[in-house]
Amino acid sequence: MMFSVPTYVYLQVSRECRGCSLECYAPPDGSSLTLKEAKLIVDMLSEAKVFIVLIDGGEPLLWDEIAKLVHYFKNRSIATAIVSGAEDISEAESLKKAGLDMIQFPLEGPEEYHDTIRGEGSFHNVLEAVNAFCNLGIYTHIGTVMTPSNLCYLEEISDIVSALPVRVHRILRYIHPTEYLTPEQCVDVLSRIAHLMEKGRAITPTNCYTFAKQTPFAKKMNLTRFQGCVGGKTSAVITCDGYVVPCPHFASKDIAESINAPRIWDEDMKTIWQEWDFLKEFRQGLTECQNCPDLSLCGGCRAAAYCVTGSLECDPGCPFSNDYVKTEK
Amino acid sequence: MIPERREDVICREEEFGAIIFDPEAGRMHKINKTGLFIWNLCDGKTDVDAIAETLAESEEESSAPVKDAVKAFLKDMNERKLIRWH
Repeated sequence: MMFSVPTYVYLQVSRECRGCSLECYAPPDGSSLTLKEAKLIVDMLSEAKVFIVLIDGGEPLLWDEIAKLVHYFKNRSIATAIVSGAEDISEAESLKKAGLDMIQFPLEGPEEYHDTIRGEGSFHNVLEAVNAFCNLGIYTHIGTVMTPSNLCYLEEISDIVSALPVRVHRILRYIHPTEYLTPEQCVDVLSRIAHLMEKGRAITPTNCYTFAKQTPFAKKMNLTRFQGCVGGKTSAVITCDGYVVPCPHFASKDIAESINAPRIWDEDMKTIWQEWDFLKEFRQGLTECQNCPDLSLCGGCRAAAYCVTGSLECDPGCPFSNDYVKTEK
Repeated sequence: MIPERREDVICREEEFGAIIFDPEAGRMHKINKTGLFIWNLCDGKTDVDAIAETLAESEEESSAPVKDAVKAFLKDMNERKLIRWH
């Protein structure tokens, strides 16, 4: 079933942030939307009846007009969330007044590790941000980008998160050309998430673990509503240069241009969504997945494939891929 | 009894019927084409009997079984707090 337009959209307001040592899908390059441009996009999304917008960056909390933009979204009955690095929480109360529904902050490891990745003092900034937004009654999530380097900290991170008043702890997958999670590591992450869930932790893998539902841990993780890769199926991204791309991992200018991404200024969302050939290919799943019985459920992580191979060939972390099966034998 | 759609709820028509979005709860609900037909009649003026009659006419069926379907749909929408009753 294909929707006429996405149900939710990531809006990248800027690629500005104070930086971290994770290789980001949208590295800082000075690009930013103006409030006028952002409002034009809101009007387009409202007209297309997109229901939810996740404001992404860069660091959206460093974008000057963030509260005004949230207010503008809410006036059009669009639910609004922010994906933040907790770099500045001075607008917390204004965002509450504007009607912000949800915010997500990062936690990459215990204090020392997190600060190594995101800068000295950033661990405390996250704790402060979580408390500030929770006290204001805004749903707050934690996101952890799981890499080969912080894999050993998963339980420790979960212990820290479980002491915070957050709604859910989301485990993301590091998309990187060389430092990606191997199939074995992906299976390890999923089995440990399942174990933590059994202990009552509000923890969940993101859709980037597209194959999660096919693993033996799916039942324990209660993944009934899990849809595999949602890029181009229910969601899309609009970058701060106006490019429409299928997934946040395609949100740098270079990658958007490498796939000839159309711009929202040139074509409406419905036309892009229904007619752009790359998006059609994206929806069909990776080349190597075409004979997999779980193709319709999964199709592989297109971002991981593109990042490693420069094409939509194969997901380097898929535990069901031929290469991994061969290695295991 | 007269059902009325909540004013702030958004209905987006799709090939299979529609998606109803509740911005207050942040939840989406898929409905089929029959559901969409009923939803569009939840205007705060049309009562349940009239909705069932209109639906029966459009589907060329007798109104008794259709009325049960209408009631079941409205009960579901009511439980999801997407309509109110007058």
